[in-house]
Amino acid sequence: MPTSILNSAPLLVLFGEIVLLAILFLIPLKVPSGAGMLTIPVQAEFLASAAARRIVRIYRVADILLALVAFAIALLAWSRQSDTALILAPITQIIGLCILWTLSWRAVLPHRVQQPIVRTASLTEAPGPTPAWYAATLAALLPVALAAAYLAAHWSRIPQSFATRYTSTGQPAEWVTRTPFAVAWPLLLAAGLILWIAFFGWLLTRYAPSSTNKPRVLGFTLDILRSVAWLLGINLSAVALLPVLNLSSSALPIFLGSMMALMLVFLIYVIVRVWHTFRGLPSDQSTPAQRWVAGLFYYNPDDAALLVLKRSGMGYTFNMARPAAWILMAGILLVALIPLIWTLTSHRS
Amino acid sequence: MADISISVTLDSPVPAYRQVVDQVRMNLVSGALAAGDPLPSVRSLAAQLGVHFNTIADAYRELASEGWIDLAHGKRAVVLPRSRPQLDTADSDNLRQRLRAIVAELRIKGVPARTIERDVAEILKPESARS
Repeated sequence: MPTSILNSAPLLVLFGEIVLLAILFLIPLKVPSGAGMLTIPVQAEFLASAAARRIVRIYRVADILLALVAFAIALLAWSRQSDTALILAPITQIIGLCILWTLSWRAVLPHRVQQPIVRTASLTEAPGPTPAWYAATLAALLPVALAAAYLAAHWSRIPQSFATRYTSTGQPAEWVTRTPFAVAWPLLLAAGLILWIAFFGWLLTRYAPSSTNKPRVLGFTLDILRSVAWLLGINLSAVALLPVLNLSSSALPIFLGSMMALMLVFLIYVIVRVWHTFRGLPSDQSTPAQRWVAGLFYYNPDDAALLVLKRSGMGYTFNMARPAAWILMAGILLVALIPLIWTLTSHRS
Repeated sequence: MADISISVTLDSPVPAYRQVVDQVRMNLVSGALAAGDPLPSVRSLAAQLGVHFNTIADAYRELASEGWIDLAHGKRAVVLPRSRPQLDTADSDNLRQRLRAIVAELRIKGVPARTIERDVAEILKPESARS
């Protein structure tokens, strides 16, 4: 197994993600604080019962076990230098956590306390992100534009074929022939994603109904979206510059390590923000608990809202009973799949 | 202008459009919304509350028919200047009767008279003086 810190950077990021996922799934146990479980307000007698304590105990233990399983898979994949197996670690953890959540949700739901579904709206203030948010988010296009200008100015220095993918130890794994699209695709992807994030910010403020939790959660979500835009802008611009920089084998790990470090800093930032934003936040009561399919997807044909706050308060989700939600989900999936489609269809030498 | 909010209880037996009409009207009567103030567009308010556009359109139409707001086509609804209407005796008696019925319902549900008095006094306060 590699011992270099830089060569271990992808593993450190993966471990960070595994810990983050485990924490994210544990937080709803405390929401709403003192009166509920898994974001569902429950009867006081049930909360004090042995059955409730058992659900919480199993949930906590399973959450930790799933994180340990993911760690084990990651370490095994790392020791065998298998990138594909490395991806299996978070996928296994996510699927396991979703199943755990669904089973626990179903056990808690019959004991819920009915609460009125209240939504609020301002008659005086227009919803929408501030111009400063748009400016700061779209400014993430700046490194993308700079990278594009640099590539155009140094086109002749780009080799006829260059690496597009690296193994977790920084060794080139796949090669592609030099074409304008092959060179520019990370930048096109970055630009598309940044514009999508700006659009999503607008969508959230305009089409997610307000509730008492909304100002706090919206501020958090917009901050995270802006940070993601910058993370994508910087990292994908750096990726696009790799062919022209033609780094030596000793400089490449430092370069890739810096990108990983940036992602690690972002993960730490998310954890800190999650802790500060959601500590003591009551569960969101702007949607009925029984309309959450398996506790994961909101499907309510009687609700005209396109986007709703998650009951945990951590972010938003679509009302899958609205046709527009499916169109937007398809758009998100398409953007996410573009790199995969490109990888599968590009010509390699 | 201070932020003025309304809320809608989706699972209430009172229709959502009625809740919107009542709350906007309360803000108009109290003077929180003054003549010339624009109201949110139908789409914006519907999206904020997560209700159908027609719900808000119906509410705005009712407020317009009562002479509170102007619904010029293609423009945002605007609060109209409105002189205090003179109540005729029949109207006055009818409203008092409804008020008595509401107070009786509150008393039946165990709300003390002192609390009702305090709530009514709070409602009658101008927006700026409310706690």
